[in-house]
Amino acid sequence: MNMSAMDMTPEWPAALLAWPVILAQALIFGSALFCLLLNWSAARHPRSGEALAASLLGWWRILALIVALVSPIMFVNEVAGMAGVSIRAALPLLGEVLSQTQSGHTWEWRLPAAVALMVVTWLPLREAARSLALVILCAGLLLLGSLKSHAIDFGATAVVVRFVHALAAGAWAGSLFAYWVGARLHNDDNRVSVEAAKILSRQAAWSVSILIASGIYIAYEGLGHSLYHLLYSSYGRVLSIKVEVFALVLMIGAYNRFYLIPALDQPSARRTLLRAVGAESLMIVGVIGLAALLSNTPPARMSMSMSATGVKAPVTKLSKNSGTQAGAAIAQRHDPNALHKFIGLFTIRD
Amino acid sequence: MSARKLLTVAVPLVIALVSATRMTWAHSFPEQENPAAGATLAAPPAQVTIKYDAPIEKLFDSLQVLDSTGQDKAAGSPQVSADGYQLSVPVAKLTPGDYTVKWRVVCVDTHHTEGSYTFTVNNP
Repeated sequence: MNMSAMDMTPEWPAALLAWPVILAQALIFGSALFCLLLNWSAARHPRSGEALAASLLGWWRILALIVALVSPIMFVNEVAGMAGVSIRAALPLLGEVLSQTQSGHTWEWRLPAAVALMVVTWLPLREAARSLALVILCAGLLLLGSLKSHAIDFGATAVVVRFVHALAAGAWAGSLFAYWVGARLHNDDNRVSVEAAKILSRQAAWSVSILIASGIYIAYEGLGHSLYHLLYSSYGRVLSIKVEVFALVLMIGAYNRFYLIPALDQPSARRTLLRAVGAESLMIVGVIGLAALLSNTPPARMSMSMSATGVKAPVTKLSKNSGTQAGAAIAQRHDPNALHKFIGLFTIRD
Repeated sequence: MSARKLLTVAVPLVIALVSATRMTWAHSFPEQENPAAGATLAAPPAQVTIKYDAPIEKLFDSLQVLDSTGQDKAAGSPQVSADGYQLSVPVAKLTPGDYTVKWRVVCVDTHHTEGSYTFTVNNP
């Protein structure tokens, strides 16, 4: 059996719109969660989580504003992509898509949740209550994102795994971000800083474990159960870069965990940790960007026509909405004993 | 967290997730066509049906059955089955000749795919 992959390119506009939204949701989720954990665990330093939350409030307002402003644009862009029309021509279709498609149903919840996220950052709430509300709202937004991702094609298990993956990524990225903000503002309080670093370390260990396990599953599905696609598809190539950058982040995290955190009593170690966390956070911004690109890249798949009969070689042409790439599949039944053997051959044209 | 604890959690999780995998593909691509791609039929079909490997939305789908002059022989609008996997359209009585089926669907993950294939109707 000779098969080659049909390759399709990422949808750049959708990925560029998704990047800031996914990043903002992840940072708010993880940093608010970190504040709650700090509050609950730092019994000897009561309200340290609330103090950190107060320091993060300005950031949360900016990030929530990004989610609230970009989400409607994402929705219109998505409808334009579904209908194969321009953004302007998509506007009259919004109501129809909201009421009649699965994606529309998720947006019916997602758009109000994005607005609620922004409102919560401006309401006069206790910081612990605000943190909890932000965690819940962002978790909801991440779940709704999973319900309209590639995972929906694979069934409920994949949706749950993708949701857990997003939560773990958010918990990791957000906790690093919160630690970085907190340590820069409160570096005079060593005890709180050490406590926060320990929570960060624990949260990162759990998040990374879950990210690796769920990431393997998602990659396995996205690659069409074939490592061949890791090299010979757009999806595989983006995934490879994401894994490589992730591995670099992981190395910095391991250095922090095993060398810097045990030596936190020394001021120099705290300063180095702060720099390392800053670098790690920046790289995670890149990883999340690649994740946004990956979620807008058609997963790799092997394909062959399953319906060949007769003497004439059947031809199925498949193309993607970009129209820039197309594949032609040629399949032919060979086995005289009614055993179906097919040869699939794809040609890619640019 | 110790390495041992990490392994205790991660290994069973990976095994469980991978073993729970279903053999399906992302996006909606034809899994089966009726009439089949490239088929030569002795009698004209009453309808053209394409079964996809992932569920499709009811909006924005199209299914055309074009004769050699490019005229659409569909005798109605395309219908999506209740489970969302099948798109079909009734066709007018087809005269002998080559026909091209052109389709376009939007998968529930919001991405659309399109394509075409041919079949032939012979003289009875």
